[in-house]
Amino acid sequence: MNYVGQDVRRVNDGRLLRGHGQYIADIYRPGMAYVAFVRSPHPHARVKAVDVKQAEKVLGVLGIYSVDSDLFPPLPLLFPYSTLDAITQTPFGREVHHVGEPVAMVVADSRYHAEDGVAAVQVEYELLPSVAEMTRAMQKGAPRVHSQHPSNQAAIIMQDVGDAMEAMNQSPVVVTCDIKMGRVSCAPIETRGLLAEWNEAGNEPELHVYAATQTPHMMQRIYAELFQINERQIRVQAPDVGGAFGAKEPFYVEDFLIAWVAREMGRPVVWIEDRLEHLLTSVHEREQLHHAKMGLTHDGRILSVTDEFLANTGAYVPWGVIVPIITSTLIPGPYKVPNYSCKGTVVYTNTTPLAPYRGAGRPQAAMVINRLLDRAAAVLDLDSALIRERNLIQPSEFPYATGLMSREGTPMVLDSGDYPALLKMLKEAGEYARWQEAKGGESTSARAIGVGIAIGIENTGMGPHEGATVTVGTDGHITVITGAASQGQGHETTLAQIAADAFAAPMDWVHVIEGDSQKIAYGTGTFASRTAVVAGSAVKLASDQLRGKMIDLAAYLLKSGQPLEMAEGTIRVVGDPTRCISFGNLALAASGQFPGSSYTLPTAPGMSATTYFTPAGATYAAGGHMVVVAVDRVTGKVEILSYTAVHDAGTLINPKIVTGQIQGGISGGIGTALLEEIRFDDEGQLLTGSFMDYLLPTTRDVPDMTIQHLSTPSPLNPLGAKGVGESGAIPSPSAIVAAVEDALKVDMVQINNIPIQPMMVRNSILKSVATDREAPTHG
Amino acid sequence: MKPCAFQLYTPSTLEDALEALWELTEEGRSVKVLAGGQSLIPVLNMRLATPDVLIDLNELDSDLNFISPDTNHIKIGALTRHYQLETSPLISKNVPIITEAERLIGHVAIRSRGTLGGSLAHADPSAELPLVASLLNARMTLQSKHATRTIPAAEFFLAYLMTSMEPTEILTEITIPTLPGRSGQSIQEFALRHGDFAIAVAGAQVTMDEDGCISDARLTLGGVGGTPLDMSASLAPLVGSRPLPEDIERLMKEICQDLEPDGDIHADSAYRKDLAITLSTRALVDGLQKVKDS
Ligand SMILES: Cc1cc2nc3c(=O)[nH]c(=O)nc-3n(C[C@H](O)[C@H](O)[C@H](O)COP(=O)(O)OP(=O)(O)OC[C@H]3O[C@@H](n4cnc5c(N)ncnc54)[C@H](O)[C@@H]3O)c2cc1C
Repeated sequence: MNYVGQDVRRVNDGRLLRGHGQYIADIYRPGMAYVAFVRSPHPHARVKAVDVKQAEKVLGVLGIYSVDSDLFPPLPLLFPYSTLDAITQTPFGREVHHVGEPVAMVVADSRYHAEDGVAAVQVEYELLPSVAEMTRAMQKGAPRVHSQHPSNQAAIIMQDVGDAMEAMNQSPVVVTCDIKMGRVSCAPIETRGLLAEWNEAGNEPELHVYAATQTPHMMQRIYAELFQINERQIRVQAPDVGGAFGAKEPFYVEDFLIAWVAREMGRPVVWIEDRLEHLLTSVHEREQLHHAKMGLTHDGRILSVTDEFLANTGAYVPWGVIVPIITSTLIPGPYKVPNYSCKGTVVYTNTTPLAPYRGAGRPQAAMVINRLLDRAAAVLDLDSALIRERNLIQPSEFPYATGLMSREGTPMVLDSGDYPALLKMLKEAGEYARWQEAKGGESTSARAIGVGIAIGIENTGMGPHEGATVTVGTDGHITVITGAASQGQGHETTLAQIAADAFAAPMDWVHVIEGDSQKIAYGTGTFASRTAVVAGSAVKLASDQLRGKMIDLAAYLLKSGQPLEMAEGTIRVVGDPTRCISFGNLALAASGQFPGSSYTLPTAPGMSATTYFTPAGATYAAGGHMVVVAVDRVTGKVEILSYTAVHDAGTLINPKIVTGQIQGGISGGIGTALLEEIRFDDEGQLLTGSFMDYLLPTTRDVPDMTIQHLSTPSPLNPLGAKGVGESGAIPSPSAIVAAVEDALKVDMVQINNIPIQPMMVRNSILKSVATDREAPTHG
Repeated sequence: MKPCAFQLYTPSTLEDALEALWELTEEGRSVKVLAGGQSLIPVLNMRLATPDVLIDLNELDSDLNFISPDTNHIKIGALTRHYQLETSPLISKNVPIITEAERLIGHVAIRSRGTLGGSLAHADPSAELPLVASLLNARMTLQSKHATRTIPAAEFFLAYLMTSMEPTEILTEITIPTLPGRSGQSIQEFALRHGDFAIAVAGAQVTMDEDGCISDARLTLGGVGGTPLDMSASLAPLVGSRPLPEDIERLMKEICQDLEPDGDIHADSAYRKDLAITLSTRALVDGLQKVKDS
């Protein structure tokens, strides 16, 4: 039996569900001290003086460090881009640029005492003018976000295919869509956290960091740069990580300061971000404002798309301007857009920085193109599924050159897919025809029903590389080590399935180890829906290589020229299972006989192989979503009646895990569309500092979903896999907006803002200019 | 998000609790009593309150946790947990609006700890139980070391998160009238997510005479003022009539005219007012329907 393709149970769940997980906050080191930060209450200010005299006397306080302690360089820029005028955060900089930036840290014998200390630190600020809203930040005379920086513009992103202006002018039908997408928080259950410890007893100082991170090797490299030491002196380990969704991808000032203060104090130091800190300082995403246009033929074929958008990046660019770049390349999505132009302006504001959150710029892209198509369908009186059918890239057209440049700077080519089949499956699974009929009569009543669909694609499985070391031990068990790091996605299961198949070994003989820079020399990390594709392929290649070596050695030891096979943890002669050698004995043989003996085997010592997989380009996953909503026209509340998703992730390693990933992504999409928004006031004060005000969907807000899979294997990797971690979040907001607009057709309400607040819906209905309708009563 | 240091005192009798509360308050120390902790603990963690001492009531079940019937009333101990009210057959039979209200409060974990007394003492104007207490004009028994007094809900809720309790008093018992004959109760609320505090909430009780005309109608609104707002006096036009939903809606529009709710990022003042009209109409219509159904 092959494990790949099976719903193998996740190997970690028993441990995690019983509360035996080892997260940062579960790790204890002798002598450990606890940090709390003094954070700026002002969105833009110069720190004039920090008075720690009172705070030093607080019970339990061991040390206080602040902007006065040292001068640090700004954090390195992770993603340069040609037009990017990059400003990265400086640890303990003199000028603070958003509420929550650290100006001092209190180290104490407990977090309680550290917070007592924080309350006693006095900071004198010189207030500077600030701006939080991106349109305002781009106006003439707007306050400078960084006082030394004359412009608030961070970057301009341009895309051009064909002649979009000319084609638009020639188009017989032109529709527009203006939409603002609200800012959201990544909001993993486990917030960020870090434990750092130096060992100065050896020949050279060594730094050991436990971090709730998606990118342990990247952290290791940055520490090497910041502390001017070699990677060998640094070990970054991600223990169990309780979700991340992008928040644990960048390198933050706290990551530096905790490691720095551990060295200053000569003791282990830990910091666990609390929820307010998370909402204030961990990266946000989504906030973009689009003005888009689509030109079409009378029968609904796209001739041209143009889009101008603003993207907020907050005070810094912790992950470059990847998010708006992705948006600009993915607006055409699964559709044929012969002429396309896009201009994105990335704007600094005095707010928390923005960087990828699950979906990373793609939900915005899917929103723009799908809403334009719905607007066109309405004008042309076409069914919204039909207008999509007419514009989808056809299976015969792959590989499909979009004419765009991808985020890696190479021509953007879609590798594979079958979008018409996807849409067909979606309509069937979601009972599109039935719902179109069923919704009919109710539209003028208090409860109006609407149907929305959206299709989105996702560039997944990106480079540069991921490696895997696969080793067979003397007990015959197989250890798989990769540079990826799991935050709950189930790599321990899926990567083990791949290796188990290669060795025809039982699942429980395979052990996956991740997230430790000391276990494998290089790694990229887990983000951008890349692990199954890139680490998965590396595991496959390394396993195949090792398998070859084992067969060679077994043939030598069994003195057999006949074909050999692997089964039940042994290698045996095909047709003569008594002539066999176990994996364990092979490993033992390959380790050399005894100290001092000569090594005479034909294969190199050891039973281990390391291989890196370097993908040639992104593989494109696709998802089609259909949602049915009921809108209470009296209260404005939106209820989801039915949710269907059909998804193409190429070869499925573990369908149940894929389904779970999509379900999770859709839950996030529901939050983005209906509930979640980080709000600031005009100056940049956070208005949503707790889960009372920042509304995550709960189990009651997430409906049961129908999730089906279509599989067009990718030609770009040995597994045929495509990434899936983010995909659920991509078409979902767009499909929900479409459904709400459809429900409110009689009121002629257009949704130009997400999340769709009930208040906003109700106000739009009350203000509607539609005449031919019955205004809803209050009953 | 860690509280300041405080002392914790866990008395095992109500006398001890009252004694401690009196003595410590006299000494000028700031004291808070702790019931289910579902409102107080977050407030402490965010350092919005920094009491010197907490008096933990959780060992006082034998004194303060009970649901006992009386003629035309039910007496409920302040430490009775939400889930006990939610699942009590005595309550669902005699004060069905409490059962309905409980289902709208938070989530299971919150209802298994949070208490009736804590909910009333916290006096959140969006909370369901203060609304029900106002609607039915429940009577609150307040005890201190030296005195016991009983006051109606109307005199208990003073302003946003503020009651007429003295710092030396503990709320010990709530007396709630049972559902009269030919009557129906209803609570209608709008929250952004299930289990959230309401944006607006309306509670109603209607009684009919033998001819099917309304003989008594009561209405309280939450989330649209600093305390639950008793609107019953404005329902006089309904008494003696058999109103249609449209008639009720018209009256609700009229009586909600003067509300001036505070707005926030999720619901501005006008929207809350609009919801108040909808929810009060729905509550009265549903209340009437229940009488007809029974
Ligand atoms: C996520 C969440 C959602 C919630 N949703 C809702 C909701 O939808 N609706 C709702 O109504 N509530 C909601 N709550 C609050 C919950 O109902 C609490 O139980 C209630 O507000 C307080 O009760 P408690 O027993 O926990 O009181 P505590 O938190 O222990 O105390 C609250 C206050 O009352 C005082 N106090 C407590 N008992 C007494 C007493 N006997 N005498 C005098 N003073 C006393 C305390 O000193 C304190 O000031 C929610 C809570 C959470 C955490």
